[in-house]
This record gives sequence, structure tokens and C-alpha cells, in this order.
Amino acid sequence: MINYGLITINTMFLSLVGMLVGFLLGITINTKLNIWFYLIVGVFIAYMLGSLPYYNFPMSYSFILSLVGLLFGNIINKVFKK
Amino acid sequence: MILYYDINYDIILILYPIIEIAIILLILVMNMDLQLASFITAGILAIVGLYGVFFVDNVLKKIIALSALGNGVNLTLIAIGYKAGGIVPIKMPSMEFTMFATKAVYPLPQALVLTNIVIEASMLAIMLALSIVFYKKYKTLKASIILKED
Amino acid sequence: MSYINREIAVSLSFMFFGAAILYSVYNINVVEGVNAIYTHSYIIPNFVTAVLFDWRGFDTLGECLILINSVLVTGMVFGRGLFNSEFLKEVYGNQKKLNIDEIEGFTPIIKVLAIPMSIILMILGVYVILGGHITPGGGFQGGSLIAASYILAIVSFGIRNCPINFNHKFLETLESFGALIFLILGLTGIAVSGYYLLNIHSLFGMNVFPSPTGLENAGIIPYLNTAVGLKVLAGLSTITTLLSSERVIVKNISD
Repeated sequence: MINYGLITINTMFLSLVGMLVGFLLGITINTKLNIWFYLIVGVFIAYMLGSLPYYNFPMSYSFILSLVGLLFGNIINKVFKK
Repeated sequence: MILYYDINYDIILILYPIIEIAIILLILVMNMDLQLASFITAGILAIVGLYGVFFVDNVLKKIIALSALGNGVNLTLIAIGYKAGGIVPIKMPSMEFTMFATKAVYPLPQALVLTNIVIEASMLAIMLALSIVFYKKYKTLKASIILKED
Repeated sequence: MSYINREIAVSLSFMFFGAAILYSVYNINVVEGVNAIYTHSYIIPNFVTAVLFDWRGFDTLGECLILINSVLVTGMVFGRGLFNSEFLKEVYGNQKKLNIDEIEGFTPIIKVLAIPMSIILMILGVYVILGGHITPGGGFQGGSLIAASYILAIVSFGIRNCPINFNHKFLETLESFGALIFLILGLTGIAVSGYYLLNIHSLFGMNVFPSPTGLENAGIIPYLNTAVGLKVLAGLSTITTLLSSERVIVKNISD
């Protein structure tokens, strides 16, 4: 069983702020991004970075969630600004 | 007729690395004090920057020299916060606080340097913009021609 | 000649000033003690950020306003403002017209690599902004990283068909939004305690910034970090756009 760490509002709030900032940046990117490529590379980089101190996660969740926010913003941009 | 535009004064900029290598040798061989060595390096950087601002006849080189002067000031500030055997001022979860408080390096000069770097960057942007306009208007970057000093 | 007198004066003042710098730097005496107050009270793990946003938050506000000022001045020189277009006509008027179709940018190798690298760099910038109160980093460093990713895209694709589309309105909104968040968070300090930019740890029995144990005193510092990061990213990107938009100026003049 993989240990995902303790997930509560106290530990995930920082990552959610990151998701918001990533979404802000993502709606400005015009090209089509290959989502699976970026997710795999992002998980690898997050695993190499490690989590922030005081947050006992196996990998950096704020990095992954910022990437998810950016990709989501890119999809929104593609759908609505056609 | 003008003295300082005829001679190639850029040679003093070549002298700077030689002095720097001499200081590194002093630290390694003679066990010189690290703080004193940083102060002397900062002084030499500031003097080289001042020299470039005064005597070098090119606007871009003047801008580079001005950033060297700023770096000298930054290095002075950093060296003030030096502490022999100190640690980075970031408390990790495993550290005990009293041990950390006695061993940590002083954080105030580093914050001041961060302020200074941002101000230098904004100054650099303004100077580069003005130098672009100078070049478009006069087709040269020589200060002696821009100021119409023959 | 009158220049010789001036030259001698400059040389003498350079000599004296340089000697004074070397003398004072050699004899400098560092007194320990005043700084001890900064290391003996624990606010957040990164003590440099604590000095920047808690002890000297007002100082940081002034520093941000300097960045805004520099963006304003650069825009005044050759921005959309163009308040003195006579001057710009005189400067830019007599050059040959650029043929835009001939400029195609770099080779496909750089174009393929530039987008993934700039996106990863962007996310790394967000990560550095968010970890500002725990690890080395913060708003200024992270904002510079995001601006660097934008510069990478501009250099490899050209400003015309750049995939990262930071247009003027977006950057303007982001910059004013960041400054506004900073000022309003300072006002909440006045509302609660009477001091501007005071670090409020908890409001109505709740943490202002929900964090795990050991970081309860973070308060408004992560919000301030994010605001400063957005503002620095917008400012540096605006300066880059202005410095690289010669074609826009030429087009504006010809109208």
C-alpha cells in the first residue's frame, strides 16, 4: 500500500493556492499541450524534488497540483476562446 | 586634446581577476580571515565599478560598471552578516530552537540584499531603455559623441 | 582647454574616494548583538522571509512600488503611452522598413524544446513562490523564474507568434491585482489591531493560512508572497515586451 501522507485542509491549502496561480498562467497558453507527457514528467520531477519540510508527503503535491491547474487552464482556453 | 579618451583605460578591468586570484591564494595558503577577504573584494569591486562609470567611454560599459558597483555594495552587506561556523537561517523540523538561535547566520543583511537586487534590476531596465533610444538617435554609444564633446 | 581641469578634478576625486573606500572597508568592525533579536524569536522557518514580510513589511511595499515605477518609466520611453510621438518619430523614422515575413526565428530543434522547458520552468516558479516561507525562495525569485520562461518563449519564437500569450491587458490586470492584494492585507492589520501590515496569525479562532503543525504563525505571509510573485512576474514581463517591441513602435509611428 502506498503511503500518500495525511490529506486534510491544513496540508492541502498551499497546493490549492498553487492550483489557482497555475490556472491563471494556463489560460494564456495558446498551443495544444500533450497532457499525458506533462503529467508523467511532472510526477517524476515532483518525486525528485521531494515534499516541502513540515509537509510529510512522498512527493511535492504543490508542484503536481500547479501543473494540473495549468493544464486545466489550457483546456479551458482551448474550449472557450476558439 | 582630451586625455582620457585617447588611452585605452580598459586595461584596469583586466587587472581585477589577477587581484582576485591573489586574494584566493591568500585565503588558501596564508589562512586569511574570510570576512576580511570578502570586505577587500567588495572594496575592489566598488572601485572598479566607480572607475568604469567615470572613465570608460561607452554607455553599455558604463551600465555594466554600475552593476559591478552595486555588487560591491551587496557583497559588503553579506559579509557583515558572516558568522564563523554559522548555518543557514532556515529552521528544519528536526532542529532544536535554542541551538538554532545561537548558530544561525544573521538574516537581516540578506533581506537588505534582496531589496537591493530588485532595485538594481529596475534601474537596469530604465538605463537599457534609454540606451536603446540613444543608439537609435545618434547611431553610436560613445558618450563623448552623445554629449557633443568633439 | 576647460576639459583638462574637469579631468583633473574627476581623477583626484576618484583617487580620494577609492582610497576612502579601501581604508574604511579594511578597518570595518562588525558588532554583534542588535541582529540577535531577529534570530531569537520564531515566526516561520525561513528567517529571511520573516524579516522581509513581518519585521519590515512596509519596506517591502516600498520596494514593490519602485518596480512599478520602473515599469512606468520604461513604458513612458517607448510604450503604448507614446505621449511624445514627435520624439519617437525623430528617433525611429529614418530607418528601413523591416520585412516581417522573412524573419522566421530559430531552427525546429529549439522550437520543439522551448515549450516544454518553459512550461516546466513556469511550474517551478509557482513552486518557489509557494515555498517562500519554508524553503529558500519567495515572491521575487519565483516571479523572476516565470518571467524567464516567458523570455525563453519570446527568444525562440519571436514576439509575434509566441505560444505564451501574455498580452498587455493581462499583465496590467495582474500587476494592479498584486499591488491591491498587498495593500488590502495591510488594511486588515489596521482593522484588527491598529497597526498597518501587522501579521495576523488567527482570525475568529481559525488560522489565516491553514498549515500543518510547526507553521501556525505563518499568518498572511504566504498571501503576501503570492501577491509579490504575481506583481514581479507582470513587471518583468512588461519590461521585456517593451524592450523587444521595436516593430510595434514603428507601426504606431506610421499610423
